[in-house]
Amino acid sequence: VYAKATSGTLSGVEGSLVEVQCDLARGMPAFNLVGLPEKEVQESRERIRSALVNSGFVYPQGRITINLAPADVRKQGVGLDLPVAASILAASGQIPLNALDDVVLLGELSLDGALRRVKGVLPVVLAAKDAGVKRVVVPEGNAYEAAVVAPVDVHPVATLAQAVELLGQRPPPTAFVFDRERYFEAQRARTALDFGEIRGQEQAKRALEIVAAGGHNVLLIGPPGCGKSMMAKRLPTILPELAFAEALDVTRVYSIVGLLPEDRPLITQRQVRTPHHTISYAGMVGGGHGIPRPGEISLAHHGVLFLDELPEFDRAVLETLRQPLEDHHITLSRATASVDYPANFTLVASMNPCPCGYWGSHQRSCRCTPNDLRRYQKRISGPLLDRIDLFVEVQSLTKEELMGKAVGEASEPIRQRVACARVRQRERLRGTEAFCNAQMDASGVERCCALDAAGKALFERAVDHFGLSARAFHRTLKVARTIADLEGAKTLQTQHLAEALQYRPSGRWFSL
Amino acid sequence: VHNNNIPSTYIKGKVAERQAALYLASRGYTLLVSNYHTRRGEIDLIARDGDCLVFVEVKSRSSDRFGTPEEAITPKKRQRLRWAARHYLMCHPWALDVRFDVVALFQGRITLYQNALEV
Repeated sequence: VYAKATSGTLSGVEGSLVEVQCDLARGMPAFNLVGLPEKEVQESRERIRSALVNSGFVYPQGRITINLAPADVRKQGVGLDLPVAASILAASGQIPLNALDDVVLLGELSLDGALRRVKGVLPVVLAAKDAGVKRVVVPEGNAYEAAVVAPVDVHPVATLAQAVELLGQRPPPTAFVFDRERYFEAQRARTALDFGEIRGQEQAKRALEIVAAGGHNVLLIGPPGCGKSMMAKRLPTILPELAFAEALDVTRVYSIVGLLPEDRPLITQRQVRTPHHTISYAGMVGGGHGIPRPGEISLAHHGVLFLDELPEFDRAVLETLRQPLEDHHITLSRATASVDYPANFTLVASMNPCPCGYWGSHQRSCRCTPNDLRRYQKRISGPLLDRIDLFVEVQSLTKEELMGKAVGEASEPIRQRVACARVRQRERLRGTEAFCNAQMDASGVERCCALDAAGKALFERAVDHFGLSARAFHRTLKVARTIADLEGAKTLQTQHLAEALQYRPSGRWFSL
Repeated sequence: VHNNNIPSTYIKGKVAERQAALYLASRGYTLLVSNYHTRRGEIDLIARDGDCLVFVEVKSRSSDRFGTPEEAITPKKRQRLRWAARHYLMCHPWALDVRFDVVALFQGRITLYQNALEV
């Protein structure tokens, strides 16, 4: 007797549908599961057996063969428990064969037949929608996450018995209702941090505004306690709000690593990831046993990756950032699988100028020898520095700034200026793959960053003075373009370029 | 006749098998073979339950110091059961439905686990 159910599995952040075929034959009792199941899928037989019996169903006699088609794709995820159990029930006549038509099943079984929440529901449900499936049955804990995908009917169930009852109902009961647009709007507005809390530091705040407007990467250099981390954590509050499609992209990543809280099915705000400097390269870019998992750079997708104390990071870890910084995604190729994760993030790094932290400070004198200094700054490689657009020196606050009443500009007006600048960029970049100035390719720079005669003269001198590489040359032009966009200027003028050049590292840094 | 060369565990096992056979008969099983031996494995009882051929493993324990009887079926024991069952099926190819049952005897109580094993 033969029955089939539909479920899904993951490859990277993409879900794909899996056909679960079940054949019951007479003969020596056996349970064979084929179709490239990963370990956790292999183990499902024990859970399914117990769950069926403990839910009051009969575990069929004879030889049970389960095939997961397509048989050449690796199947991961405990979500396959429920469809396998359902196909066994259908093949043994305990539920009607047609009950499993046109519905995607997902869920991990407990031994008592309860359904547990699973990871990666969102990508699978999106795949189901693309394949034209109208209904999905998911564990209760995944109801909101699945319902983010419209217009698919979501049926949350708590136990295997409930799932079976639901599948037998004709016509199907009404689906779970969730107003995702309203939720998205309501959640998006919530924010705890604000730029207004930062006192002084006008130059650094200006730099972060440029960073936000153009999607550039920035390095903040300053003594301990001057507010580098504070500013970095508030950067998302001046970044443009996530669009719904972007929110879905980010949520996919959080869904597959299981970082999505049960009651918050959608990531509605730009995320700041602040990995500790002891992070391994697998933690940073992704990897791990079996199918590689996404790393911090993917969790910071459409958000901010904040690397505090940049020189303390393992050099090999920092070097792995080079390629994703250019390509905005990362392909992890391993013997078991090759997966692609998105990694379009804004890099914000911070560091002290020297090991003691006070080199160049107005308030304390530095205790480091020139050799200490050189060694410290050498920990960051040239290729990585080359990918940073803005270098900002942050000074400690003066007594007056610290004790004074003056508060900074709030996030909202800054965000509006940033949004305007982004609109200008998008219009100009229409037809290309780039969304913001930082993503422009060489031909884009050629087209959008034409300089007048005075600008050319200034730039020529600057190239000699700073010894700009070809990449740094382009990056400076892009930053200048963003400054012009913030101002609303159509053409690139000398003062924009002059400001952009201010954000190049001065000669005393990195011996550049 | 008392024979000191026969270990007491063996006698206990035989008694348990006898009890199990009587119990299965009372449940409507038809006993076919007891102590089916092959070179690579053995089966305590082979019986018919309706149209189904049943291989029965009998396990008894007088205390649960070493676990309950149903826990005592190790992967190695499974392997031996599988070999013996295959051997029997080759010699008697009439069987369509096949099942493994376990009869557990524990402190005078008999428990039957139907379709308890996959080998």
